[in-house]
This record gives sequence, C-alpha cells and structure tokens, in this order.
Amino acid sequence: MMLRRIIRVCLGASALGVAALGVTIVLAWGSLREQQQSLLHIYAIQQRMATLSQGINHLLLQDQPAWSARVLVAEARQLASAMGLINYRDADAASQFLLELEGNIAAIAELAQQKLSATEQASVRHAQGILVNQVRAHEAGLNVAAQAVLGNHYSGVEQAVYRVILTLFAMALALAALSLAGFALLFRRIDQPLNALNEGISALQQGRRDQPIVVSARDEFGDLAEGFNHMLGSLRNHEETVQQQQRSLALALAQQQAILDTLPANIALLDSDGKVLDTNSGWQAFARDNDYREADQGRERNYLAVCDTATGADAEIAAEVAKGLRGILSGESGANSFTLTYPCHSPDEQRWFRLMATPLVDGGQHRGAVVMHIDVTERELAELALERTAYEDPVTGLPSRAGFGKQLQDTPLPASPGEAFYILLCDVRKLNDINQNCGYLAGDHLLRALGQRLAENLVSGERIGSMSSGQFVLLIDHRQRGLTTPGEIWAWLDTLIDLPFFVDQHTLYIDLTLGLTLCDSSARGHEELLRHGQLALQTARERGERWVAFDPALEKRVQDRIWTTVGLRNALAERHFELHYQPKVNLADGQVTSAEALLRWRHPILGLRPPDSFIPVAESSQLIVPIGEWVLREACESLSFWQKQGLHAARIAVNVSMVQFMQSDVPAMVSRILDDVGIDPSALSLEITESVFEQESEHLLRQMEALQALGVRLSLDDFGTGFSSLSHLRRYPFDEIKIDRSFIRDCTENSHSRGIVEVIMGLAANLGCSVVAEGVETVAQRDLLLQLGCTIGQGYFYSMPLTGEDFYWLLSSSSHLPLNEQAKITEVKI
Amino acid sequence: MIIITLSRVVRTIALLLACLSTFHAVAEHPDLHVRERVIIAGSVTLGDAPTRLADQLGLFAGAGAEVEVTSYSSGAAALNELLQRRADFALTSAAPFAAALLQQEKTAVVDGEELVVLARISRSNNTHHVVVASADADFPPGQLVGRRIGVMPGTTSEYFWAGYAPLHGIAQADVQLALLDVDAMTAALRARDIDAAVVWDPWPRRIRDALGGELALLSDSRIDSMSWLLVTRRLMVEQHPQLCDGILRAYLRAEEIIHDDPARARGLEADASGLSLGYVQRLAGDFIFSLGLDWSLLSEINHHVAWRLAQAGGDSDFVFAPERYLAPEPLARVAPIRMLLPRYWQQDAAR
Repeated sequence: MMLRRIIRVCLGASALGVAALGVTIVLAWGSLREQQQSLLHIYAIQQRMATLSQGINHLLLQDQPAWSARVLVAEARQLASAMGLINYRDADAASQFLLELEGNIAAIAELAQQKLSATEQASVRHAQGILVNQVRAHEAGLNVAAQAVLGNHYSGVEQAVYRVILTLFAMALALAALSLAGFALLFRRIDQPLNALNEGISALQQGRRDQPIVVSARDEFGDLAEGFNHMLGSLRNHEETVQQQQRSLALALAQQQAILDTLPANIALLDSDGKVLDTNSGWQAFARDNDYREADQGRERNYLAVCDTATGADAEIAAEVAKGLRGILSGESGANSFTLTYPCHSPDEQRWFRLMATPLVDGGQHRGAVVMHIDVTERELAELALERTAYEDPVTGLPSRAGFGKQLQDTPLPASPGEAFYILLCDVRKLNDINQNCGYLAGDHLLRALGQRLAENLVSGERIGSMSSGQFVLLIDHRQRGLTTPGEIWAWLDTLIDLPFFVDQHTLYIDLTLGLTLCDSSARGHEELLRHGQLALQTARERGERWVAFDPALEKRVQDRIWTTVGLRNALAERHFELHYQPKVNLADGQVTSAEALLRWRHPILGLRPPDSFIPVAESSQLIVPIGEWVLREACESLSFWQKQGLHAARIAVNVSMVQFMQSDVPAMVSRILDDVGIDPSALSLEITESVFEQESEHLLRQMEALQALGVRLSLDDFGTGFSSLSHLRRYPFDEIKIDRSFIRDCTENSHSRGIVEVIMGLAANLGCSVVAEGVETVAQRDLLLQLGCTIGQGYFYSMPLTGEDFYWLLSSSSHLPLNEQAKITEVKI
Repeated sequence: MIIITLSRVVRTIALLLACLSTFHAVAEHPDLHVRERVIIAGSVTLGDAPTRLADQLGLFAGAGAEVEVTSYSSGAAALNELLQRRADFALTSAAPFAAALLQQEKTAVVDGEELVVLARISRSNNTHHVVVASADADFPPGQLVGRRIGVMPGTTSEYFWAGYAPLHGIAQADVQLALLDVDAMTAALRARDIDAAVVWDPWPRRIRDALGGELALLSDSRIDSMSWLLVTRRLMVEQHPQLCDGILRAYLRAEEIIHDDPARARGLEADASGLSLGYVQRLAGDFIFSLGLDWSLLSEINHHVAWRLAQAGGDSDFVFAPERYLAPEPLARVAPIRMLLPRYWQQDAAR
C-alpha cells in the first residue's frame, strides 16, 4: 500500500475514532443527563419518603395536629405515584405497601374516633398495636423497596457511568491502539527505506555510484528508491558519457591539433590585446626557418606590436595587417574576418601569402582572434594561368572575347565625335572548307597567321582579339589611319588579306566578311558595341555582302523579328489566324472549281497582316510547323463543311514550305488530319514552291512520294521563277503546275512570256499534269490563256482572296466569276 | 368463654415441656453439631413458598448448602422441630416465635442456644380468615356473637382473632373460643363443635374441600399481620456464617424468580404444595415476598410478646429486649440494603 494511502487510512480512522468518541461523549453526556434526572427524581422520592416516615412517626406518637391521616394518605398516594414513575418491580411492591399503609392509617384513625368501654379499649389497643406494627412493617417494607429501587437506580447510574467511562476508555484505547498501529506501520514502512535511502545517499556522497538502494516496499519510498536508482544509473551513464566525451574531446583536440599542424598554414591564437597565446607547428617552423631565436618562437609576444614596428619593404603591408587585425580584435570593424593577400619578397622566388584573421567571439564579447598565414603562391600562379587562359585565345594567342572585352572596358569611350573609333568584327569565309581540305591544324595555323598579320598592322591605341574560331574583333582608330568611311576601312582590311598565307605547305587565300560599327560617343556601352558589330556581321552574312556597317534599322529588324515571333506564338494560342480563299476558276465559264487557302494574321493592334510579313519569321522560328498544321486542318475542315452543305467545292489547295518538310513529317501530319476530318485525299492539293528544290534531298523525295501514295495532289507553285528544272519535274510526282504570275502578267504583250506559257503548257501536257495560271487579271490574259489551252486560273480578274463567309456565299450562290457581267466570255476560241 | 379440651391442654403442655427440655439440653451442649444435610422445617403456608422454590430449583445447593426441606401443618410445628433439634432452621410466624422467646426468657438458656431471626422472608395482611359454616357469602362479622370460634393457640390465628373481634365490635366474652390444632379444625367444623375457625391459607381451601359445603370467609387485612420468619439458633449464626449466608442467598434468588418469573414460580409452588395453580395465583396476590430485617419486626415481635404477656396476666417487671433475638449479620453481609435495623440496635445485639 502506498504511504499516502496508509496515512489517509490512519487519518480517516483517527477522524472516525474521534468522531465516534465525540458521538460517544455526546451519547454518554445524554445518558448521564438522563441518569442525573433519574437521580434527581429518586432524590425527590427519598425526600418524600423521609417526609412520609416523619409523618408516620408523628401519627404513631399521636401528633395529630401536624400530620393527619388524611394528609398522610395523600402523601402516600403521591409517593406511590412518584414511585410508579420508576420502572422497576420494587416500585410495584412499594406501591402495594403504600396502599396497605393507607388502609392501616385510615383504620388507626377510625379506631381513634371510636368511643369504647374500658374493657374494650384493651382489645382496641391490641388492634391498634397490630395496625401500628402494620404501619411500621409497611414503612420498613417501603423503605426496603424504595432502597431497592434507589439502589437499582444508583446501580443503573453507576453502570451507566461505568459504561460511559468504559466506552470512552475503550474508544480512547481503540483510538490509541489504532494510532499506535498506524504509527507503527508508518514507522515500519518509513524506517527501513529511509535508512536504505540514507545509506544510498551516503554511498553516493562517498563516490560509490554502483550501490543501488534496495527497498522492497511498493510505496513512495519504493518509487523514491526506484527514482534514485534510475538517477544513479543516469548519473553513471552521464559520467560514462562525460568520460567518453572527454576522451572524444581530447581525441578531437589532438586531431584538431594534428590537423592544424598538418595544415599548410601558420596559425596563431591571439588574445584581445593581440598577444600570441598559441601557435601551430607551421607557425613554429616558420619562426625557426626565419631565424626567430626566441625560445617561445613568438608566443607571448604582441603580434600588433610586431606589425607596428615592421620596417622596410614589408612595413606598408604590416601596417595594413595591424589595422585590419585591430578591427577584428575590437569588433569595431563589424567584419567576420580580415583577409589580405600579400607578396612575400623572398630573395629566391616570388611568393604570396594570404593572411586571414577571424575573431573569437564568446557571448558577444571579442576574446581574441585566430591569425592564419597561408602560402598561396601556387594558387596565385594558378590564378594567373587561369586568367591568361580566360582572356587569351589559345589558337591565335590573341585576347579572347573576354580579354578583348576587358581591354575594351579599360579603354575610355569617346567623349566627343573627334575621339571616335570603329569596332570591327570579321570572320573568315568558308573556313570550314579550309579545315576539311587542309585539316584543322592548318586552319588553326591560318587563324594564328591571320591574327599576327592583323596585329602587326595595328597602330597605337588599336586592339585586336579573337571572338571565336575564325572570327576576329578589332578596335581601329580610323582617324589616325586617315580612314573616314566603312568602305575605306574595308579596303584597308582587304589589302591586308590580299596576300596569301603559307600554312603547312599550303598557300591559302582567304576572304573576310566584315561588320563594323562606329563608336563616336559614350551612349553605347562596350557590350552593346560588340553586339552591334555582331549584328552588322550577321547582316552581311545574310545578305552575302562583304561588309555591312551597323545601322539602327538593323537592330529594329531584329527586334521586329523577335516581336513577330512572340506575336505568332500568341496568335496561334489565341486563334488570331484566319484563312482566306482565292477561287480557282474554270477560265472557260468562270465556274469555281477549287480554292487556294491563304493564311492571314488578324493582329489585334496592327490589323490584318499579309503572309509575307510573318511567314519568313515563322519559318525561321520553327513556328511554321504548328502554323502549317493549323492551316491544313482549318482548310480541310472548311472543305468538309462546304461539302456537307452540298456546295460545289471539288478541292482545296494549301501551301507547304520547305521548312515544314525539313522540320516535320508532313505525310504523317496530312494523313492524321485527313483521318480526323474525313475528306477524300484527292480533294486536297499541296502547293509547293520551287524553292524546295534549293535543298533537294532524298528526305524531301520520300515525303512527296508518301504524299502521292496517300492520294493527295501535289502542285508545283510559282513555276518558272526558281530552281525548277526538267529533272525536278521528272523526279517529283507533281499533279499540277502553277504558272507564275510574272509570266501571266505580260503574256499578252511579251512574246517571250507567251512562249514560256506555251512551253509550260506543252510540258505539262507531256507530263500529264494540269496547269493553273496564277495572277490572271485581265480579260485578255484569260482569253489568251484559253487560246493556249489553259483552262484553270486564278487572279484578281476573277476574285481577290475571300474570307470564309464570302467564299461560302460565293459557293452557295453558284455564281460564275467574274461577277462583272461585261467580263463574261461570249465566245472563246481554242 | 373459652373452651379448652383436655387433650389440647395436655398437648400444649407437652409441647412446652418439650421446648423446655430442649433448651435445657442445648444448654448442656454449647457446640452445635451440624448434620451433613441441613434441615429446614417449613409449613404449608404460601409465605413459605420461597423455601420450596429454592429447594425445587436447587438454589440451596447452588449457594453451598446441602438442604433438606421438611413441611409441617403450621409454623409452630416447624418451630418445634427446631426446638427439638430435628431441624436446623425453621420457618414460622412471629406469634410462635414470640411464644418461644417468652418461654426462653423465663428459662435459663445456654448462650448460643437462643432462637434468632435471620430474616423475614415474606409477610401478608390477608392470609388469616374466619371460616364460618354458612351459606351466606356475606356473612356479617357481628353474627359471630355467641358462636364457638376455633383458634389454634400459639399461632397468629389467635393473635388475629384478638384484633379482629374488637375491630368488628365483638367482645371476647361474646364468643366461645375453642383452642384447636389447625389439623383439627375441619373435623370440629364438621362435627359442629365449633361454628367458625380462625385459620390461615391454605386451610380455608382444605376445609372447604373437606367439608364440601358452603363456607363464609371473613377477612380483615387491617389487623391481619403475619411475618414469615427464618429462625435458627445463635450458634448456627456464629459458627456457620457461610451456611447462613448461602441459605439467605438462596432465598434472595428465589425471591428474584418469584418477582421476575411469577408464572413459573407459581407453577412450581402449585406442584410443591399440591394446591391448584389458580388458588396459588389468588393467594400470591396477598403475599409480599421481600427478604429483610427491619425495626418493624422488632416492634411486631415486641407486640406479640407484650400481647402474650397481657394474655397471661401481665408482668410489670419483665423487660423484653427483642433485638437479642435478631441475627442481622448474615443479611448485612448478603444484602445490606435489606437490613434496616438501627445501628445502635445492631450494636446492642452484638453485645
């Protein structure tokens, strides 16, 4: 049982005992009060009996005046009544005595009143004597009975008192016994574990931590002992942990010291005044190597004082170190470290050291610093090598793009036009051919030779660098050279490369493409100058020109291209594209036979934009693939819609660019769309311009054959203006040839054009291809074409490209074109 | 006038002579020899019921006394057994005791042989009756004038009649007293030798049962005073106090039973006395069973002695000291509350 429970039980039992004692006392008090009342009652009876006895004596002594028989009878009755209140058998006897006494007293009184003769008086006296004896006997009996009653009541009172006393004594005894038992139990439960706890604590105080307390009781002492033993175990574990940590710490310190000693650095620990407290072996070795003769090898000396008193070449560095170190030691600098790389003027070789000072902060207080000198000579040398690598072109030995840029940054930009200079970027044309023919090493030698030739011809203030392989950049002071225009600068440069280069037994002539920009103010930064030069060079390459000078329009064109690309992406996502349809018409009767789908961009700000303004950008940005797919799907769905509406629309034609063939799988795309839309493949014509043949390949041929296999019609667009050749017509499976508008435009006036049209017509007839005349704009042209056998045409004579709604209306109205009645054909001669 | 038959006179004289010879003999043998079994001589009166009850319930043995109870027709006969040394204790009323004391006063008695009262065990003031052979249940006492009244001399019946007559206006000369033993009363009534008999319970019932006729029963509790005394010799008290104490304790225990369990006590009394239970119950209401020794007993004995002396013609020189014939020590030891004698009387008695 837990001690608290025992104490609670003891307290409860004591409280119960005290309560029982209290109740007993109260009850005893009541009983005693009751007995006291009985005693008082008995005392009253005794008084009455004494009074009655006295009255009887008076009566027997013939003391009539004081006690008459009547009064005695009344008194006897009252006494009987009073005794009747006592519930005891003797009271009945006493009552009987009293009743008889009453009769005797009355008889005495009666005899006393009789008047008898002298002889009779003797007999009467005898009777009186008997009566008197009766009275005496009754009184005695009454006394005995009363005494018995009183004795019994006294005995009752006595017993009650005894009971009370015994009860109180028993209660007190029980309470005492209970208390003693409780205290004995508590003492027994407390003494042993308390001694055990004392012994355990004494043992702990004497350092014996392996002596647990043995307490078998399962109470608070047991818990305490268990807690103490647990604490003892924890203490042992803690001590073991501390010892282990001490060993680990010592090992760590040794390891750290070993690390410090093995570090390629000279390390010293300074106090807050700059005094050297400790050093590592490197510091000590440095001190020995430098003939530092003091036994402590620098310890206990003030490092700041050493710096302050330095003289000679190192005085300036020492002063800087002292300044930085004071900031670290005082914390006033606010820096977490002070670092200084300084050269060491060794007589044998140039060396560098890096000084690093780190504050020792404890609780926000600066307690000192760790000063470390590291030999960074190798690193410095490596950094120099890296810098050289970073700023020097390894092939030509000229400054690289970064090196030239750094030089350019170091060059002050002109504050006035009189200080202007040119930035030239030039690259070697067809360098790849030289590499492939003569080898890359020869190419490298060529570039090095070219760089040397250019560098050798520079004048003061001019600079040269190598932007990339085969591309050089120059800063030319044209004023100093007397050159005024870009053309003159090109001419100067051209003269430099006019002479051949002899490289690896090769005699090589090179040609350059030049982009240049004039820097006549500081409005443009160095990077912008280089970018403008690059833009001019790129423009020259695109144009195929030998040189191009930077013009702001070039930059605008680039920006337009960028913005157009962004706009195209947005247009594709926001469905800003739309298709216009230019009818293809039977030239004989003006009936619409098919339509060419033409892409339009309805720009939300710029309005409707023609394809020439964004198709090249789309082709260069690879957006032509999704745009082309959108066009094809939209055109097919329109055709399907018209056909489902019962309109006469036999075919739809869609333009496909070379980029689409190069960057995507056009047959797969066409097949997928045809399947999705569900139109007859023969109703689709893909118009391909002659430009596709500029990059003729087997890949293109396989795609066109695949398209033919699908049943799609192939149309050769703008025939006669590009790279078409008869072999192309023979090799590629075209179903249709579209005569370029340039031949149609003047075929009525120019016999050559008419002849070309006639040749194309004959060629088509021989190849089995149909012919479509583009750009039909007049009745004469129509009539001529009809005469030459061309039956299908398109052009503004019939209709400009129509929106989808207009073309739908045109089909639904079954109108014949042109809508102008005067232009209709009345008779055609073929 | 008083009619005394010769036989009765001879018998009385013989009795007195026997008493005298006994006193004389005792005087020659001061050491009391106690029997193995103590004999208590009692009588048939209901006042002796505690003796029979203690005997029936073995209370004497429980008190340390081997007792044999013998019963006689009257207390005088029982006392005679004591006087004749045929009994060690006797139960008798005050009248025979007073007569015996008066006789002892007149004769030389060896110290220790004098009779002493240990205690009064019961008393009654309604146990003596004048039995009249009459069919009138309300027989008026005045009609006894001129009749022959049988009384037993030396008993309370004689004493009762002496008080009853004047109280009812009957002069001694108006009747003829016939001194008869109580045993002879029935025959005398049957023979009409007497008209009425003064007897005590249960003799009226016995007479009625014997005669079978109609009897008138005249009573007067006012002058009917009978104390039933436990009497022995002084030597018994002095030489055998434990015996005396044990006997008194047995009487006290019997008295407790009578009071605490009256039905049982009456049943036992009926068995022992041969009386019907109803009769015993009726009689029981007339008895007070209260063991004690008080000054009224002195007065009563003294009155008996005085009356008897007066009957004998009076002796002005005779001084009777009744306290000499009381032995209060045992009762003072056993039940001091029951002993109400004045202290100076006790001291005189001790002297």
